[in-house]
Amino acid sequence: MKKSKIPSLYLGLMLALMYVPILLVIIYSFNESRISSVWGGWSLRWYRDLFRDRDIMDAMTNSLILATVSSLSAAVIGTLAAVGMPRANLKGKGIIEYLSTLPIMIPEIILGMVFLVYFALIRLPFGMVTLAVAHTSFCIPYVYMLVKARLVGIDKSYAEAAKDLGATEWNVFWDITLPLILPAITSGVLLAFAMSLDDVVISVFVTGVNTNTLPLKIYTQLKTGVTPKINALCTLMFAATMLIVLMSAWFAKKSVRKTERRISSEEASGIRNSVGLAR
Amino acid sequence: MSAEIKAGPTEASDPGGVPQKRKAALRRFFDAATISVMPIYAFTLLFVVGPLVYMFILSFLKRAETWGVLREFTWSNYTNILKPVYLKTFYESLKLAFFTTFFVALVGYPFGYFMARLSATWKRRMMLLLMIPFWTSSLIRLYGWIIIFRANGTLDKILMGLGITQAPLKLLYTYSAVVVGMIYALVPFMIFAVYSSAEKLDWQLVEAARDLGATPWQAFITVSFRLTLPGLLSGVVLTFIPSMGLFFIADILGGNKVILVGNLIQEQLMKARNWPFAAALSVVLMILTSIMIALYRKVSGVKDLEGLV
Amino acid sequence: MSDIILELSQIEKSFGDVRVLNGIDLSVRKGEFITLLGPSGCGKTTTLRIIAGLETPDSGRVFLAGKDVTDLEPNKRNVNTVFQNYALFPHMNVESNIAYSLKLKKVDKQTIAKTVKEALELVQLSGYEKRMPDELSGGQRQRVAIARAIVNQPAVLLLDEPLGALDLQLRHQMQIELKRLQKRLGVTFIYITHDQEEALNMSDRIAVMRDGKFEQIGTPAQVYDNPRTSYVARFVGSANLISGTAYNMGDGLIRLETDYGLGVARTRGAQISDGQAITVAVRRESVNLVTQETPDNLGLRAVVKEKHYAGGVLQIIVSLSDGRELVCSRQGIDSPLKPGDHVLVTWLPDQGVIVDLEAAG
Repeated sequence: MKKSKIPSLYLGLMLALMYVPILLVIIYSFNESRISSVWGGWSLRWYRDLFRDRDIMDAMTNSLILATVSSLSAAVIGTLAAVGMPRANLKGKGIIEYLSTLPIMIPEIILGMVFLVYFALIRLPFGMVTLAVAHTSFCIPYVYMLVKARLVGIDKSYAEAAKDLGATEWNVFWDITLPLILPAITSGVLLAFAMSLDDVVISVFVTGVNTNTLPLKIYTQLKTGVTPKINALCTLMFAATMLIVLMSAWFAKKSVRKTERRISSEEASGIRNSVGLAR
Repeated sequence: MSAEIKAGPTEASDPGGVPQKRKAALRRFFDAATISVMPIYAFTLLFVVGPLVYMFILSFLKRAETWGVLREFTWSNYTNILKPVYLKTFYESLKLAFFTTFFVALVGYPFGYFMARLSATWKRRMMLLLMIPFWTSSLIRLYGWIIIFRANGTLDKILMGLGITQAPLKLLYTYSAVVVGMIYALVPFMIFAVYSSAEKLDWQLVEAARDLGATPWQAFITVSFRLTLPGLLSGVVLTFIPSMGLFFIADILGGNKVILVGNLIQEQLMKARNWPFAAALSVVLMILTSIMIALYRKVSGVKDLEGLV
Repeated sequence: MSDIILELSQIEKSFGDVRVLNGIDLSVRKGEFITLLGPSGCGKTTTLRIIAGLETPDSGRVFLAGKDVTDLEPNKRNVNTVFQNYALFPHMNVESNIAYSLKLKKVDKQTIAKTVKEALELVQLSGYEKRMPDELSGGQRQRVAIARAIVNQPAVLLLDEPLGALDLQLRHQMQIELKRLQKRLGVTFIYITHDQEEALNMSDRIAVMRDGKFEQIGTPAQVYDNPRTSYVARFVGSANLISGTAYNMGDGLIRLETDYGLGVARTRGAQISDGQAITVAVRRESVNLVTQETPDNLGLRAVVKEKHYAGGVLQIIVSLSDGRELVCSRQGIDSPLKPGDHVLVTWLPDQGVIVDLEAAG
């Protein structure tokens, strides 16, 4: 059977199409010209302007605070839940587990809408607080699912061996479980951070009158008319997201390696190398 | 309380039984595992179940004249949806979702399928290459399409430069622009779903089919396609559901010309301030979503959506 | 010759930098049961895949019934394969799996039903039509895979270690059944295995493969009794190999002088010059261990190292003065020999086969 070239061509073409819009935004962020459809030569002018824009800097601060708070709250709630769920003596565990993942299952617009009406009902002040609660709700499932998947892969005998050696429940968690699931937690937190940093739909509904986040700022501008500064802002956000996602992928890989101990030839040679170095 | 104690003869005969039993219950309640799941119970009940229940209740309440809601039961929010103008929005929304899903499948299926046939090294590289656009903010990607579509934008320059068109096409703020934006935003979901299904496919089965006399196309239809169908269906659900709610794509690329259920909900909430009606719209949208997922489970016999996390 | 159904001519194949097939030649007669025998990685599966059309050789030709099929797609070749893991379509029941190729050929429904029924009878699985593959045992899947491959009436049936996944008892039973089936159908079988016993039990001819080449092709008796190379002697007969210097004794006999003593072998027509370095293969069951001096001073001096009983035979391992070991197998449970006993290793002249003559010459 002969191998056809069509698949590689198709994959290449589609990937190129996916990258073109992103690359255009990045290229135009270095455009000297004020009218964005005209190329006026390379320049860092818009990046300078960007950092002088108080509104945008405020929005950036808000976005970073929000992403940090919601991903860390999700890390605590999600990790504790993933570790405790299998052993907790409570009714309705399955239902709570299902319900807690709903925020990433149902359409975002519904989530935004229910939060808006509900926060109005319980009189939560719209602004950073409502944003943080809403973002935490869709951050939890990422941490929970990643940690849960990691826990399934951990051999039960570790914990049993530790208990056999005299460890308390607390020791087991602190000395055995936590170190093993740490890469999964980190990976989940980073993903959650990236999701929070990018969210528009839910934020549109739950933000306050005077609270802006970066995506909200971009959204308003895209609707009303863009200034070249937005190109620069988008490029920076792109770079930040990439960094976070690559880090997350790296941690996830580390987590999988520990779990499955699948030794590929590459890893085997890696082990050989390290053994060689040790000698 | 006392009746309960008397009911158990063994406990009645044992004076230490009552406090011990209570202690055991207390210990069970305060054991480490139970405490550690308390936060997620609290958060989920307060901020997931609470809002959803309130939305459901709200959808049956009357709207107050100027502001807020009255505590009166009514069906009118649901009957309101049956008005032609709103039904039309649902129809338009579903139509766009079908269109989008169809094209996403057309583009994404071959991608995921071909990707699964790559060598292990290329699979990893491909995954990373896909991660980047997938995780890039949808706003940035949308902005890229604005640059391409706008009058005298990249597409116009290329087409006019090649002499294919003479004047700017004015593609921005059209239905096609919205469809392209939707496909672009959702195609990674399809790719991941199909890929995870095709990756599990035993390629020896395709060889067996070829060996038994099937042409490449026959082998694909009778074996590969049939066995990757769960992935495709999963991708369909994963694209169809969000495509009903992605109001901001219609907003930005369609320029208020394309109104979807998502736009309608947003408008009712933020501008018309008719919250009960927005809640009713959301309930209907959620029911449609659940039906989709239930249908998918029934057809594919799979519990979890493939390619999800 | 018209009764040659399949011919491979100078087939070469590489994957990347790895040369898998190194100029393979093979002629298979109609109705023959031929086994490709070799360890994993010797290129036997690649050979099979090239015959099936699942791989294209880098050079060389494949002829099927006199026609060059080298560049023909697998679906255009009248050859079918029983895959190693059966490759039954998991979404089709037994009946649909077997009927697959007939449906592709647009055979009418009644004929399909009849053929499927006959095929199932042939593999003794009547009544299993509606079962799904995951509801079958390993042996049953095996039978379905065979039935699926034979309904097309292929000119050649290729079997890639079809019994590899079965347990020992089932494997013996299936060996007999497969052989019977092949006789009955009169179809040419090309069978792959790494199990020499399987090859010896079933084949009309065995082709022993090593590093992408055929080491020896012949009937089981030829390969077993007259191995051409030390590799064949070891792989097929688990023979002992003894190296030394040859001296002609006349009457087609040679004397083998070694560091540990004297041995004998027959030349079988080969020209051996005095003083030539040779290797003699002696099968385990042909080795005698004696405690008294032999009249003509024959025998290799050795010490009994250990003995163990396995599978109905007693194996006695002796070591020569330089630490090399020879194995001797005996019927029965025990022998009077104990570890540490000094013995002489002897064999009859007919049991000593000179190997690697071509390589040495």
